[in-house]
Amino acid sequence: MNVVVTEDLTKIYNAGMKKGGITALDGLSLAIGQPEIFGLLGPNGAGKTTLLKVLLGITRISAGSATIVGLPPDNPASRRKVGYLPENHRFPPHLSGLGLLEFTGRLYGLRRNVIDSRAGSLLDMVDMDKWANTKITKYSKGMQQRIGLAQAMMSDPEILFLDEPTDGVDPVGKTEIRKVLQKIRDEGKSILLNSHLLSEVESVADRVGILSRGKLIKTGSVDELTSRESQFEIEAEFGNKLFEIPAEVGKKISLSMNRLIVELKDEKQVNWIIDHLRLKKINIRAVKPIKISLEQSFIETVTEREVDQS
Amino acid sequence: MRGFTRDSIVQLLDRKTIWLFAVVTVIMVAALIVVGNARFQGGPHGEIEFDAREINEMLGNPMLSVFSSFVSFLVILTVLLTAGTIPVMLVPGRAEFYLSKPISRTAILLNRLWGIMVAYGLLIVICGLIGYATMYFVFSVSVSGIIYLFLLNLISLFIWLSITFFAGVALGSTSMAIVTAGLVWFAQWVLQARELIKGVVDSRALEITLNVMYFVLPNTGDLSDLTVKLASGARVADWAPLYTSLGFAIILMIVTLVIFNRKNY
Repeated sequence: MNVVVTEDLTKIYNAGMKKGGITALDGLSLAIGQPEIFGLLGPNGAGKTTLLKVLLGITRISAGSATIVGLPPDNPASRRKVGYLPENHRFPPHLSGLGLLEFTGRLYGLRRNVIDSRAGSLLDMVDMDKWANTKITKYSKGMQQRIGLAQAMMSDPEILFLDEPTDGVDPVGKTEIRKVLQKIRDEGKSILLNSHLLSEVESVADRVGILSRGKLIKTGSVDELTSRESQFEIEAEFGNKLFEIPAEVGKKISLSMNRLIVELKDEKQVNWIIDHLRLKKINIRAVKPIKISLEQSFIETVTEREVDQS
Repeated sequence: MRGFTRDSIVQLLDRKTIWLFAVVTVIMVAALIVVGNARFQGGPHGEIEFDAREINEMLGNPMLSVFSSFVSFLVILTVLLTAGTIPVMLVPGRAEFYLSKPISRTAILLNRLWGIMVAYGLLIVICGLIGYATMYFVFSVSVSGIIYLFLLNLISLFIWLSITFFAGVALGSTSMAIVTAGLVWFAQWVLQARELIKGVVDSRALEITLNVMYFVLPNTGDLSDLTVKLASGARVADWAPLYTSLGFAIILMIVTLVIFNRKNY
């Protein structure tokens, strides 16, 4: 089941005197399943936050369509099972951490006893119970992020929209948040995660989408995005033996005593390599696709896109 | 009310606004006690002595107007103190908190309006009743229509809030909300003197403009006079200030809701 579906979603902001406006989202089609952590990556101004705002009905759609748990964003009921932690949030300054959770619960129309029990367990979960009655304005950035995450989870949402959730959080706090996100996914829920921290997305996301100038230019699992197409590393006991690869199979990138790196015309050609290594009685220890970091994949994808457009 | 009334009360207590109302009420009570205990001399040689109670009776109960002005002042104080409610609620980073919840924009605005009306309305009534009790004990003035005085001042509060809510949503600035309310107040003050203006300037176009403006803009000044009349039990011949002002506020709230529902945040 998909909890978020968009089809040709377009958002054009009015640019005042400028003709045509500013396109923040350009025909974006996306589906997020349940349970799933979907990481959304993109340079500044790519449209990541706009996408979240459009899905939540905070910003109106210019063209195309979107649904959350089957309902359009302009229907308030679509937000009943959605939790949202905005980037650079400024929660009502007159509230304490507990007050914020209680007010959030009331905005969701929850019953008093549900609000009390959920607020208590969430404060405990984000380790803010000691500061529950302290005003939000007295919190550090990390504490504000933690209480923000708790308020996003007050309604026991089916999907969480998190915009830079670990912004300003110390490394220990980041690890804690990561564990919370995985726990949420294990409970069968979905998360749409916007983050500049690619290592963070890489460590928790099931699937990743790369957004550039309002267009979703690549989606796939973290494995798919970080694999070098048709490049393999073969660990084997080559010793001083020569090993040549015909051009129709691929090309050798490097060869050492116990390591061969090849780029194949087709991934299936890896079987040809294995067969011929066995024929030459070379012991194979491992065959693995070459991986790059998500950061490298992201930079390459965005750069290629920029070059294509220019 | 999805927690908006409670939130307005928490906000009111947090901003220590309650102390401002307390100070104004204490000043009013002290002034009433001082004036009430003063002795006044009259006659050609100052041989006749009056107390304030007697003077009040002789002059046809001007204390009622003083008391009505006190309650109106509390309304103006509320308008100034709450002018920033909407702009502050809709700043980037906070607007998302409210707008991402399963509650329509119309409900957010109306619940916030109701929250302010309840929290500050209650404060106005409590401070007003303290002032009224003091006036009753010092001047033995009982106002048969005291309920009308509070009711019409609460209607006046709604009219002013519709203006600051409109400016808050449309212009997004606290200072602009105060300026807009100030401009409307100035315009209605000028329109109160429209008969005088028509007498001085002989222009048919001006006359039509003033008449139209008078029925379009809220007439809280005339509404205040109407309040005193109703409170004192006098007959009210012209209800137009109430109808037109209330109509203005309702239409302005509808316009505000339309703008709010269309805006991107």
